[in-house]
Order: sequence, then structure tokens, then C-alpha cells
Amino acid sequence: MKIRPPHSGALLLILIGIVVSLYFLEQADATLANPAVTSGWILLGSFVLLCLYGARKKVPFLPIGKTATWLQLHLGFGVISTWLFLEHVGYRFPTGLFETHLYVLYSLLLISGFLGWLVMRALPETLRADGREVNPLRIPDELAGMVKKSDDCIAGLEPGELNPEILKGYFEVVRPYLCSGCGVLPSRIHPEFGVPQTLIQRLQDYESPTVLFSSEPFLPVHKIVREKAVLDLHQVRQRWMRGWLFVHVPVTGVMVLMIILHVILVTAFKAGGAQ
Amino acid sequence: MNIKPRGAFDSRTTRYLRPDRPYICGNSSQPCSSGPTGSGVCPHGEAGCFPRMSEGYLRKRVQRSLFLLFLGGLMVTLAAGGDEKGPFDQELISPGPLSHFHSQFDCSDCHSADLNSWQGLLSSVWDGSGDTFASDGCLKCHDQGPHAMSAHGVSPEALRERSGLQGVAPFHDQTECAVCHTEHGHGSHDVQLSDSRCQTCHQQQFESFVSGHPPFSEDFGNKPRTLSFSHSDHALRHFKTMPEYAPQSCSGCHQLNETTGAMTVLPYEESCGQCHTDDIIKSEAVKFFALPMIFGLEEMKEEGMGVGDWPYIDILDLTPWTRRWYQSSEMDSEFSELMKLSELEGDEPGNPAKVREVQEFAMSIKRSFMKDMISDLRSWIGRLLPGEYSEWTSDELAQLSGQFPIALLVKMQERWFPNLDEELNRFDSGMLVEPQASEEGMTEENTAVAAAVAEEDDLLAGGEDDLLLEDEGDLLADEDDLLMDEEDLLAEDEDLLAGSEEDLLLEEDDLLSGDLDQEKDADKEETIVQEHSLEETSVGRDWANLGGWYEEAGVVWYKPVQHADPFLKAWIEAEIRHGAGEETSAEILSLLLADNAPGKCSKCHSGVSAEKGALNWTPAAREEAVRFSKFSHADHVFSDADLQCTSCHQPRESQSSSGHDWFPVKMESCTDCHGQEVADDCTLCHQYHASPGIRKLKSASINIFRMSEEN
Repeated sequence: MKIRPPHSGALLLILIGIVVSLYFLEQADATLANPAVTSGWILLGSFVLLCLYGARKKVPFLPIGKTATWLQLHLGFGVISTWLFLEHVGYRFPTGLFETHLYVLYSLLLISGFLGWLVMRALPETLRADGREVNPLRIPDELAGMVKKSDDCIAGLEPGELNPEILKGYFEVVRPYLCSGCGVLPSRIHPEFGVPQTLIQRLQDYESPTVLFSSEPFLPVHKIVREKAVLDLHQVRQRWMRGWLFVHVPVTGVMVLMIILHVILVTAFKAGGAQ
Repeated sequence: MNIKPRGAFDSRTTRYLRPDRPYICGNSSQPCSSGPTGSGVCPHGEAGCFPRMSEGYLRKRVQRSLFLLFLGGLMVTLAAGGDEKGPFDQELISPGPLSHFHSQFDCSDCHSADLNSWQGLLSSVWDGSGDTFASDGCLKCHDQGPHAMSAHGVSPEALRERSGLQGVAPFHDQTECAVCHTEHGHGSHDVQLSDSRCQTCHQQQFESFVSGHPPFSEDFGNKPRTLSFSHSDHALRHFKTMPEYAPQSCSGCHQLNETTGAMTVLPYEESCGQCHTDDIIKSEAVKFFALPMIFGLEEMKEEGMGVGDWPYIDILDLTPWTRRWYQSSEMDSEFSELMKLSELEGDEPGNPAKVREVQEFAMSIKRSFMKDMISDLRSWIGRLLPGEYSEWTSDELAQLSGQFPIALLVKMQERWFPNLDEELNRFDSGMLVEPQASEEGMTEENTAVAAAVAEEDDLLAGGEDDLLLEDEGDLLADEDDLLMDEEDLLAEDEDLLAGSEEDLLLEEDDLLSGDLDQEKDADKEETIVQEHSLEETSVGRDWANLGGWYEEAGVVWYKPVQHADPFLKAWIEAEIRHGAGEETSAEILSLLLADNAPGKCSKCHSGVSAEKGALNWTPAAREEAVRFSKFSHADHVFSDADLQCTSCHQPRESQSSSGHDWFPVKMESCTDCHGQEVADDCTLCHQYHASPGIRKLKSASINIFRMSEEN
């Protein structure tokens, strides 16, 4: 798996962000300010900027830069935010209940973000490997078309052209496969027939796959099944490319809530000690 | 131009999935316009179709549900327990457990109680603009003195003076504890100050210890002396004549305190005390309390202004303690001149007013003495102290009294004023106060007593006639009543005589036989050898030759008992601490710290000085001093073989002006062993908290044992 290198602009942004943050942290240290407070405020700022990327996608009509640029900013600030987060917590695991929640959720947010980044960098190459570029939003429509086309092929056969076992196998195994979803993990493809291994195993009860897939009238259906296998693979990978968002986006919403509470508590307890 | 409607490409009607289309047809996998019915089947009646959510819509639903779930959970948790559960009681928002030392405290012991309500918390957010957590809570226990939050915990003015930057304004900025110290598991307790933080103020930067670091001071390694001791004098003179006492190495007198890392002097008994104990035991006693001598007691008596018994005092010198006793005895201000005198003249002819004043002063002294006898030791010693009596603790008072025994006070009264109460009663009743014949030291009074008795007889004789004349009538009137009663008494007497006559005769025989025995004893007494006598008992200094309290020649003395005598030490400390600027205090200190003073304290303890107000009895007392650097002998001295003391401390032949017989420690001493890389980190040798308060904890109002809850 080849991973696409990060954008040079994002790398530059990360570098600048770290240098600027380091300057402020050094300043805090040198002016006897609480470094955790300083890193906390910078971290909050970076979190707001990271959230702005999500907001930007809600208003695509505004002329405020390309989403790709925003994504680079999002990724850059994500890296800076990770370093700031570790600085803020002092490179230790917290002990309080609330802080532990905050720590775990922020870690989850960062890890899901980095995994997403890796997936988004690695999978597009594999999607292009077979020379096809499939719009994931069109896959359901294409699959529906395949089912119809397959049914038409079978309906167009002369009576007796296919033996009953093959027909039975089509209606009980092949057609349900064409209508089924892609699942979460990619199927293992049989090297000889180009269809999922699981499908081959299930067809053994009806007709030998060798006989089935070498049957002349069944060839158009075999072709459709192979296309479905390829589309499934595309769809699984597309799911992977978006699946991490099921963690990343909801955790972001919760983090907003927790960060607000954290800021309230920290600011409140700064105000005064016992007299 | 004929523009075709968007038709099939309209996002609402396209066959492809769009992010804004929430449902997908269960059969065709194409967008579903309305989603499933309540039972989850197709709203259009298509057989076998179960519309499902699109991925985008599912993600939104998950996000929304998780957010609401979390928000709801948070609200429920925080609201659990009702109004009584404030933020301090919420385990959820607890930032983590406290360190072992602080784990027994409540939130309100350190944080403002105002924060224990959600309203207070939010208003604190609104008002608060501090950079870090307030230090008030810390300082409740960690007593850092009045300048706790100033740089290095010392006063800005003192810091400026030490820095030598006299032209610079004092640095008054305050630093909160939480800048470096954290709690609730936030960071390490082993706080290490970074060099950059030092350079926040110390802007004279240099490359390393060997390159640019300011040189050690001229007296580095030679701390201000608290003990006057000449190494060279002892080595070259005393130990030559007494080689048996000469230590074989430095550790003969010095030892390493492994706890503090400091090099200290061995205890007195193991070092100086080997030779110098007799100097203390045989030193002079303190003349503690003495009354003024009154001359002309006989003449005063003849003038009708006797003062009764008065001690004969050998040494005419009013002690400062006596003067302080006068001042606290609430005597009339008219005696202010007499209070300064150690001799009072009561025989000034033609000056009855003066004699009367002496008499009244003497009786005031007796009255005060009487007060002392009926009060207690605490009150008595309290009247002799400098400053406010209320400032003293019981421990201090006990040491300052030297456990003055009541027996001595009674003895003083018996010897000085044997008829104290009777004399005061007579004086207060306007009657003549006469001395009684008594023991030694009252020879003058002997004649006075006789004269006084004769005078009293005269008074009684004169008075009797007058009484007879006045009362004669009354007596005659009562005579009839007495005669009436006489008959009854006679009748009773007859009965008694009848019953007792035989018994009386029997008793008479016994008495006669007793008289015979006495005659025999009298004969024996003539043969007793007068071997035992109490006339030659050991008193005063002869008795108290081991030290302690005694009375002699009309004076109360205290003789030092031992080295670091608690009584003398306590008085010196009390006068230095509480008697600043007081004339009497200065006099007491000049007595106790003179070269030949009792105990000879100042012979060695040069760190105790009335002029400087210094009370450094031992080198260890310097722990109380402000210190900006640290050095642990424990980290350097492993054994004599590993490192000789003289590697750093070079002896000199004659003492320096500051009394040291060592050259100052040089920077080369460090680099000789450590090499060029030594101490490139400021805090290796320097410490931020220079104030000695860093090691002090106040017994504050912390409710450690939850006493108030039990109540």
C-alpha cells in the first residue's frame, strides 16, 4: 500500500504553528506564567480552527477558499493540536474522572483523525488500481442496474437453455448476492472466476462452479457478478474512507461540550483560594 | 436560448444518492423520498422493501444522539444530590486525587468556599482574570512569612540590597505558588525551576559555570560565625599542652548531618565540654533579686514611722529585675525616685515628710511581696518579663522562672519579713509597725522590738483606766443579773463535786508520781552531750554549689547549673526578642552577656548579640537565615580518604577580620573534581525559596480530623 506524502503546504503550516506556539510557551515560561494555562488557550484556539473545517463544509457557496485548502489547514492544525495537547497535559495520563474523559475523548478524536488521514491517503491509490473511478453515490444505482440487467439476461433465455440446477442456483445464490450489500470487509476473490470465494462455496450445492461459469448462456451473468465483486470492493473501500467519520464527527460534538465545561471550571478555580 | 430544466440532475429527483437524502430504497438501493413507515416497511407498498438510512444521515443521527446522550448524562450526574451537592462534592469534575500530604484536606481548605455553588462558579468565571490559581489556600499552612509571594520569598527591599543594585526600584511583582507547584496529580512534585525562568529576572546571562559565572564572594564557604573558636590557637597552643584532648582529624569535632547534608560541630559534651565545663560551673551567680537597704530604722521607729522587719543587705546594688518588679507592682508614681535607689535613708533629721515617704515605700514593697506570695509562679515571673505578659507561652514562662521554688519564696519571707501579714494589717489600720526580734541580719531591730513592746504596755495601761471609767455604770447594772445566775451555778457545782471528788483524788496520785519522773529526767539532761546543732546548717551559696536558686545576704541568686543553662538561655533570648529598646533589658543583657558573666555564654557564642539582636547559639541556627544557594556536604564527603576537608577549606595562619582561620572556598575547588561541565544548571547550586519559611508549616485551621463534622 503506497501512502501519498502530505501536502508541502500542510507541512509548512505545521512547522510555523509549532514555532509560534513554542514562542508563546517560552514566553509564558519566561514570564512565570502558568504554562498549562498558556498551552490550554492555544490548544483551544487550534480546536476552534479544526472545527471551522466542518462548518466550512456546511457553507460551500461562500467564497472563502477551496475545501481542499481548508482540509490542508485542518490537517496541519490537527498535528499542531496533538503536540499542544501533549504539552498541555504534561505528557502524562490524567487522574481525575473528568480529565480522564477529556483525555480519552481527545485522544480518540486525534487517533480517528489520523487514521482517517492515513486511509484517505492510502486507499484512493488502490481504488484507481483497476482503472475505474467509481462515484460512491452512484454505486447503489449501478448495483440496481446490474440486478435488472441480470434478470433480463435470465428472462431472455430460451426454455431449457439452462439446466434447472443452474437456474435454481441463480435465484437462490447469485441473485441474492447481486442484491446484497458489500459488507465491511472486502471479499476474497476467486482467482479463476473473479467472484467472491463465499459465492463459489454456496454454489457448490447446486452446480459445479466450473460448469456454471463455463456455460455459454450464463456468461453475461458471470460478467455482471464479476462487476458486482469489483463494485463491492470499491464500496467497501469507500466505506472505510468515510467510516472513521462515525467516530471523528460525533466525538467532536461531545468534545465541544466537554471543553466548554473544562474552560469554565479552570477559569472559575483560578479566581481565588481559601481565605 | 432554450434551457432545459434540470430534470434528472436535480438533487431531489436524481437516481443517485445525495448527502441530503436520508433514506435508501430497500429494493432498488436508490434514494427514497420519504423513508420507512412506522413499522419500517416501504411507504409506497413495494413488496420486500425496507428503506434504510443513508450513511450520511446515519452519521448525523449518531452524532446527534451521542451529543444529547452525553449532555443529558452530564446534567443528570451534576444534578444528582440536589442543591446540597455543590461543585466540591461532584466526583465527576474532580481534577484528580491530591498528593499524600494534602489528601486529608477538603476542597474548601484550599479553594474559596464561594466556588462551592454553581452560581458562584459561574460568577467567578465572569469576574476571574487571574493567570493562575490564587495562593491564599497554600499560605494558610505553608508559612512563608510576610513576603511569601515576592521574588525568593524575601522583601523586595532586602532583595535589592543584596543584589547591590541600589539604583533600581525594588521588584514588587508577585508570583503565585501554582506557577511552579501543581496538585491533583498535575505534574511532578519534584519541581525543578528551568534556567529560562531564572532568567526572567536574572538577565545577566553567561555560557556556563566556568565561563562567565560571577566569581564566588570573598567570604564564600566562611559563614558568619556563631561560635568564637580559633582552630589555630587550639592546635598550636592548647592541644600542645593537653595532647590527650587533641582531635586526630576534623571529624574529632565535626560531624555530617546526613539528613540536612550540613557539616556540624559535635555536641558540646563531646567537643568543647571536654575542657570547658568547669568554666561554666564555677562561674559567678546571677544577682537576681534584692531589695534596697534602709538605714535608720531605729530613728524611723522613734519618729513613729517604723516599717517593721527589714532585711540587712550586704551588697548594695539594686538588680534590673528588681526595678522591673517595681514597675510592674503598680506602685505610686511618687516613689519613682526611690525606686532607683539601692539605699534608702530613713534617718534624715527634721525631714519627717522624707521619712514618711520611705516608710510608705517600704510598706508598698511589702504589700507587693505579699501579693506575690498569695498568687502563683506564673504571675510572679510574669512581673519580671520584658514586653507584654500575654505574649509568653507556658513553656517559655517555665524556663524563665527556672522553676523558682516556693520554698525559697517562703524562706525569703521568713528571713526578711517574718510578720509580714501582721505588719501590713497594723499599717493599714494606722497603727505603729514594730519589728520583732529575729535572727541574723536583724541586729538593729532587736532593740527596736523591746522598745516597741514597752510602748505597747504603756498604751495598754493608759487605756485601761479610761475603759473602767466609761463602762462602770454598765458593769453595775449587769451585776444583779450576774448574782441571779450565781445561785444556779452554785447548785450545779455541788452536783459536780459530789460526782467527781473520788476521781480527782485518784488523778492526784498519778500526777504526784509523774512529778517524780520529771525530776529524774532533769537529772539525766545534765549528762547529754551537745553533739548535734542546727545553728551551723549549710545555707546559700554553700548549699547551692551545684547551681540553682538560693538566698544569701538579703539577695536572691541564680547559679548556672550546666552548659546551655535553660534559665540563662531563656532570659537572654527573652530580652533580645522582647526587650528591644528597653533600658532595663539592655542592663540585663549586659549582665548576662559580659565576658565574666554567669555561665560565660558570650565567651564562645559570638552569634548571640544584644547589639545586633542576633540569637544564633549554634551554626545550625543559621537554618533560619535567608539562603539563595545550597550545598550538601553529604553529597561530597564520603570518607576522609575520599575527600580531604582541606581540598576545599585551606587553613590560614592568622584569623581574618571576620574571625575565620580558613581561606574562602574557590571556584576551582568545584572544577578540580567536577571538570568544566560542573553546574550548567542554575538550580544545581541555587534555590528559589530563600526564605527559611519554606520548611515551616503552620498549625492552621485545617480540620484534619474532621472534628467539626463530629460535633
